[in-house]
Amino acid sequence: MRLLGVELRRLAARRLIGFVLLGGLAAVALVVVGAWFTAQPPTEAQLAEAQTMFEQELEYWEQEGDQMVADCLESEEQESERLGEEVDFGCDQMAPQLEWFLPYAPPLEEIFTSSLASVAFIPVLLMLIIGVTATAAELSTGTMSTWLTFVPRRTRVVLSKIAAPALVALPLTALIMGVVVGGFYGVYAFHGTTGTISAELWTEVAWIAVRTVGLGAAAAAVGSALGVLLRHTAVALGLVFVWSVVVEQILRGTVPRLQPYLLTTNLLAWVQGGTEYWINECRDSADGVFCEGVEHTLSLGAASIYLGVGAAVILVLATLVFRRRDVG
Amino acid sequence: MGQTDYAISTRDLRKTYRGARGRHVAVDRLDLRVPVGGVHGFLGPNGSGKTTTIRMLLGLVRADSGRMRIFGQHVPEQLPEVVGRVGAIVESPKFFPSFTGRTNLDLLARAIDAPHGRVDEVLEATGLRERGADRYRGYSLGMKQRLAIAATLLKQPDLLIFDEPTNGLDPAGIHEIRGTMRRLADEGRTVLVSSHILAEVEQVADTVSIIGRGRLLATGPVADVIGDRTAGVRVGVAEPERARQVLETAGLLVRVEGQHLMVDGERDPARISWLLGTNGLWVNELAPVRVGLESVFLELTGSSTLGAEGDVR
Repeated sequence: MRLLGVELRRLAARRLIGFVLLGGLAAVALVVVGAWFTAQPPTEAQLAEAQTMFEQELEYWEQEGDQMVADCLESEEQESERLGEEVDFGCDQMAPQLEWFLPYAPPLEEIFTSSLASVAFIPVLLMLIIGVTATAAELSTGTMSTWLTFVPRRTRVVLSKIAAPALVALPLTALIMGVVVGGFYGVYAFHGTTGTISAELWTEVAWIAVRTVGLGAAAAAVGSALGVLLRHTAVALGLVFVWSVVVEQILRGTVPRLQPYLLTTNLLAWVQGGTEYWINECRDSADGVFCEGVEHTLSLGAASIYLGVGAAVILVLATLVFRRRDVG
Repeated sequence: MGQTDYAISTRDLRKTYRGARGRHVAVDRLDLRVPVGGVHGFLGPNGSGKTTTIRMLLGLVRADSGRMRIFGQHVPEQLPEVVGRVGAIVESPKFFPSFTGRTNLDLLARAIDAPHGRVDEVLEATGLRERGADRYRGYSLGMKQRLAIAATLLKQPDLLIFDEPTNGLDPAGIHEIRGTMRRLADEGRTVLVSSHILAEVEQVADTVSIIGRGRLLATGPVADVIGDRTAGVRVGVAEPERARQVLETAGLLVRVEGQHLMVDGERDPARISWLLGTNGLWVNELAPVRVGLESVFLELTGSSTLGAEGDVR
């Protein structure tokens, strides 16, 4: 515990932690500022313009509407005959509505969870950086050798160096997610466009935030382990970037069936509490090969196991390597 | 002497590095013994295995084979038990550059649970009290070295290991470090100082071990190992040509070096002075010329190469 306390002090003394926190807060502040604009209800000018366009469309509809509906029903009937099953072209919903001409501004209740999930990767990435630099900087500058001449028990040393960034990541990620949740709710409440935020939705939001905080801590720990393994901040972060942004995107496009095994898919499933992905499945039919996208679900449980096992492997590997490696 | 009479002892210690160009033997069956108390010089040319040996003793590098003890305790297995008695600076001092000197020491002090106030004491002892609040990256090389010594003193160690401590220091810094090592030894501690400069070790060490190509070449009191290795005597005299004839007549080997004479192989300046004086030649300079480390190595190894052993494929 003494070593962990010293590591926490060391991290607290690092200016980088402050810079990362400020960077994270600045990034989410930009997101909240973006939300400020999307949360705004239509202005008087937008309403007036929409009303004018609606009236023009209504006038055209009154002249041509009956024919348009008739044409629609005919096409619908032809398609139904061709496919041998009932299809609905929505011919009864063709009459113009005013909201068609208003800028679309979904209420917070519709986008709260998806927005949080997309922003969650900001603090997680920042915590990864904190973890990587915590150990890689020490190894690349040689200060680790000074440390080991004072504390030669390597397992304790490496565990303290992995655990400390994880602990630091907890309040930092919580703070950033608190700003995001509060910021989103604040700007939508200001504009009166929250919609109905039910207790159930608040619970879902809270769980997303809690899981993100946990992921932030895990990212810091894994980052520390990667720093131990790779010894250079740029190498470790470069590897993460190349894997998650380049390799996984290529795999996602070329081998879609690998999606449930991709890191990014599992991270999304963890944060959102499960996620859907589509795989194009083809079969032979009378008209030739028929393909359709089939939706699959990656559950929170499956993502937990994937991420947990992956993190454990990296942490154990880092510990074993550090125990045996020559330190310069 | 028993094992506990030695601060450090190694037996058949070996370390091989593997690289793109094959294997390289850094330390080869090294038997090193550093007696308790005094300053022990650990001499060898660059690449001879000094730093690797020190790193192995401190558990930073794994030995391929062999045994090591510090104060009778097997290392690295029992290093945690004995590390509190060992302070070490390996190569250049390494601290967190963005932290102050005091913060760097404070973190180390907390890691070993040093008594409260110990950081102030060691800052005071090394003359860094006024600069403790400055960032380490702003320190001069001498201050960095002093901070490293301050760090070693946090433990109040019985054994101090300094690896090339005067590298890059100005003469004042070298003098200061030399004085510090001597003072620490006089306080009853054991100091192991590695160097590739013969004169540096000679001035401060009580005992010495010389290694070359990872192997022990000689060990013992300084006087026995390198103390009488005089290359010759440099003579300044008003009539060098007549002086040369006098000395050669006496059977000495004499070379003319500019306005001076160099009497090779003669270790007794008094004899030269007497020979010249009895012939009415008065010397204005009479200086024994010491051999360099290179010469000692050449003599000990009988080899023309001084560095580490070559690559082994």
